Amino acid sequence: MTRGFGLAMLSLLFIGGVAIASSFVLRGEGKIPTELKGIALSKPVPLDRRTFMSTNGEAVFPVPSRSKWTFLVVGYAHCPDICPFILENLAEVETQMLKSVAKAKLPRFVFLSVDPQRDTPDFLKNYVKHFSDRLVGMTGDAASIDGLTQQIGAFYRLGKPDSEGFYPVDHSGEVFLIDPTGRLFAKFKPPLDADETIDRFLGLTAHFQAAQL
Amino acid sequence: MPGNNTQRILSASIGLCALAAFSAIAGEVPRVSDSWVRSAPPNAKTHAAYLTLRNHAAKGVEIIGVESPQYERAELHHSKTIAGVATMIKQDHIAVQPGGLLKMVPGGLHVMLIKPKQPVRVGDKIDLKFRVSDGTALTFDAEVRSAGKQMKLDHGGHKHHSMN
Repeated sequence: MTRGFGLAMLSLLFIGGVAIASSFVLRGEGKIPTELKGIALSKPVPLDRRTFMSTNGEAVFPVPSRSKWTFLVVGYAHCPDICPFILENLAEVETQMLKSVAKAKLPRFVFLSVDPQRDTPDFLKNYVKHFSDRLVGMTGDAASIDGLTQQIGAFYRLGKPDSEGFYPVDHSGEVFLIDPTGRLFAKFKPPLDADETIDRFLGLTAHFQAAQL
Repeated sequence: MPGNNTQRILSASIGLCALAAFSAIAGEVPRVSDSWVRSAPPNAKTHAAYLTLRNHAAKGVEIIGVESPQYERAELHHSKTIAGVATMIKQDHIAVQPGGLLKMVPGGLHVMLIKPKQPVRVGDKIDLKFRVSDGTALTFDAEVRSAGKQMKLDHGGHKHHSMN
C-alpha cells in the first residue's frame, strides 16, 4: 500500500515534470509567434544588475522587481537629431499606451546616456522632462555602461572632440525591450508606429507569460 | 490675314519673353522652404534645423557653411544609421545641381546648431545663413516647432544633395 502510493506519487511527479519541461521547451524557446519575428529574441538575454545614476538618484538596472517591462533607448543628450527623434517617437507610443493599455501593464521608459561626462544626472533630469514626465534618464560609470551595452548588443563610441571640445557619439539607434525578470526580450527599429508598437508589445507580454507558465 | 498671324507671333514672343524673365527672376536665388528647428529640452546644447532647398538657378550651388546669430556656431551634418548604429558625419560642403532639390530631414542631412545664446522656445524664429562657394549667402529663417507626428525618420536614399 505504502509502496503503491509511493510509486503513484513518483509517476505523478514524473508526468508533471515532463509536462513542465515540455511546456518550457515548446513555449519557452524558439516558438516565436510569426508577427513577433525579427522583434522578439529567440533566446532572451539575462542582464546583470548594475548600479547607475538615474534622474531619481542611484538606481539598480534592470530594476529588481518582477512587474514592469522597460523600453530602453541608448544615446546622448548632446545629440541634435537621432536621439530627440527617437525619444519623441517613443513619447508618442507612450501617449497612445496611456490611453489604451491597462495601468498595471504600462512599461517604464528609460534613456541611457553613454556620455556621462556631459550628461550628469541633473542635466538628464531637465532634459528628459521635455519628452515625457515618465521618461527616466540614466547614466553611470564606464564599467556599468559598457557592461549593459555589451549585454544588450548595443554599440557606442565617443567621437573625437573638435577645436571647441564638442564631440559626437555614435550609438545604437534601436529601442530595447527588457522583460520584468531583467532579460533583454526584444528590439525595435525606429521609427515606431504607435499602434503597431503597442500591438507588438502586448503580443510580447503574452508570449512572455506563456513561456513563464 | 497676314496681320493676324503677325499679331499671334508677336503675342507668343511676348509670352515667351515674359516666361523667360519670370524664370530668370525665380532662378536667381535657390529657394528655401519648409524650414524648421526641432524644439528641444530647455537645457539642450544642440538643436537641429531641417528644410527643403530648390535650386531653380541655371548653375549649381555649393553650400560651404552655415551660421546663425542665435547660436555660437552651426555645422552641416548627415545622420546615417548603418547596421542599427546611428552616426553623424560633418559635411564640409553640400552641392545642389541646377534644378536640384536638397532635403534636410530628421535622420538625414541637417543643420546642427550648437549652444543657443538665449533659451529657444516653440514659435521662435531662428535666422540662418548658408554661405555659398561663390561668395554669396542664402538667408532664411526657421520656426521652432515640436516635431509631432508628421515627421518620419529618413531611412532611405541618401542622395539628396546630388538629385536632379
